[in-house]
Amino acid sequence: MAHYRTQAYVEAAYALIQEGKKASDVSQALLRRLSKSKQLSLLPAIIDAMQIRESLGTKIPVAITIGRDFSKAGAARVEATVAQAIGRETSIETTTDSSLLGGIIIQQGDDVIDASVKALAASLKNYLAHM
Amino acid sequence: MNAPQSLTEQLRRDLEQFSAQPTKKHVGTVLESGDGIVRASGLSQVKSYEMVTFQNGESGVVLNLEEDTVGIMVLGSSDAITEGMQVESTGRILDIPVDEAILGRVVNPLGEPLDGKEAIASKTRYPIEKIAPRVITRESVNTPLQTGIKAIDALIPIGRGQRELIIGDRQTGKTAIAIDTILNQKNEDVICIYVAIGQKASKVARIVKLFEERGAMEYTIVVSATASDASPLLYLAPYAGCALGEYFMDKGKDVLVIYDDLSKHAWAYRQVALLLRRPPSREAYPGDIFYLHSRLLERAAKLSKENGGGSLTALPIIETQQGDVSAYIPTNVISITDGQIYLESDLFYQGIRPALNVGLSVSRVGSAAQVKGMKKVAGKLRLDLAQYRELAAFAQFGSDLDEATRKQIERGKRTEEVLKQGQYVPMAVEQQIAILFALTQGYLDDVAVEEVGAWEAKLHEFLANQKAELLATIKEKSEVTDEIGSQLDLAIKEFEQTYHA
Repeated sequence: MAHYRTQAYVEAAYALIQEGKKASDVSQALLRRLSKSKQLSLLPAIIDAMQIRESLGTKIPVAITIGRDFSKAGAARVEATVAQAIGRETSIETTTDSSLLGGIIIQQGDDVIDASVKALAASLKNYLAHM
Repeated sequence: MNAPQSLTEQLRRDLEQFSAQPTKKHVGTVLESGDGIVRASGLSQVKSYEMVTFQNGESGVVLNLEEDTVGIMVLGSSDAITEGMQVESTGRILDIPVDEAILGRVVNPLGEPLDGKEAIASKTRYPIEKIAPRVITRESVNTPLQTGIKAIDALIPIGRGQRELIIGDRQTGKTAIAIDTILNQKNEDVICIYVAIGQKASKVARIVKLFEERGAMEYTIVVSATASDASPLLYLAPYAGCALGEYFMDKGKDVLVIYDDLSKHAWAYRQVALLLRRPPSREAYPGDIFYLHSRLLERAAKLSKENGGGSLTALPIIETQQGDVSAYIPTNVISITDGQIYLESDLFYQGIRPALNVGLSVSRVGSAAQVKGMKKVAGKLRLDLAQYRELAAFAQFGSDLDEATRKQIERGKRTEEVLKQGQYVPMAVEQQIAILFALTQGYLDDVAVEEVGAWEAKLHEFLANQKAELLATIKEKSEVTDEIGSQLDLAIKEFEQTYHA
């Protein structure tokens, strides 16, 4: 019996519910499957993730990390730009991490665009070391 | 003040070349980590054998691509890699820096220096895994690779581009043969690469020191993954050594690579494969254990002139348990290579060193490359030795032997003596020809068996001092013509007089 990770179960269950399957049937099938693959311990994590997934709907989750808090207007501009670049409705979660020293990191799925001062400094250091 | 100004200009130019672009990365998240293996989610576009870097600076290689996770082999310590850590793909298939400057260095399988000297700064990188040269680019083995060991050069000659296995139990002198061969490549324009896989660090240090003392480090690279290194490094070591060799081969050079030893390599790969949960097969080795070694040894080649004419000779070493050559890994490697040098502990303890079993050792392609002179003097040696062994066993029962048998046994005893050779004293081919000539012409028949060693040493001394030009002729022509033969005859007769005097 193949083992899948939490997110895979959530996506599969969510897709079935979207198709119109009854929520109770889906959860039964899911539980049977988890018990067979001896992964019942994942259940709490799956429930939490399911709630997040529901709140997202068809939106694409995007994580943004910034070095310094910026103004509301600035945040709106970033959100608009990101949404435009992705071309679909996005759900943006923004966190602040002062260790970045400034700049921004945008992550959507496996892809990360790193424009933080920390990364730039690291690449400058690398450039100087191998000049 | 012109100089500082130009310096400022230079710095400015250098800095202007640096562009501060945001980086686009492809990342994943560590799901679990343990025993040097990491399972990560994400990294959906990663390729097999692609390098990845972890947030803490460690690097790894992607080996398993599964439905929703990837299996990563960590190159280094996985202790500080934690669940949830970000892992970033590099888009680079695993490779090693190659350069002329790497000669004389001790490096790990990633090309990082282990000798405390500066890093190898090279823009050229060779992939660690590479498809072996195709049929059309090769030619058959035609140049000898002199090991400097009489028994091998005479009976089991090795050619450049050949793969000759050195097999035997522990403590039978396998590494000693490999080291002697490297020492003998001085002034031969052969680049040597010694790959230590799972050896004791003290042994590697001893070998490096020996190479340095003998001036062998100038043309040698040591790739070391010792027993204390993580098994992924042990698994990569021979491929890294081979990649270094291929760089020089592509430049038209002759290269000798020694893999010491492939049994430990198979163990390391078994460990990695089991931890990656690949299904085990015979002796718990994974199913592709044959391919593991065949793809490595296929990379040994003699390239044709149109392709630069370089060569890569491979001397893999296999350690057997209690002389069992029919175990899984030994049979695999025996079938892959072009012959084997079989060492036996019984012979070793009888004082026959190198402890070569002449009957079981073969070289399938090397005789085509043997120097003509050697072929002439050593042609019958193998048969004579085999007959001697048979007769000697038989003669133990009866004491009444006819003259011919007795003579053959006496000759056999002396042959055995002549083929004995000390460690770290490789012998030039012309010297080998001279002593084997003396043996086959019967000059040693009157010398007591215990005195053969001393007699031989004196002969070499005499020839080097008095007949240097004759030795030079043999070396140059690498043949024993009738004329050279009669000159040798005369020289040895002359020597006999001084020896008895």
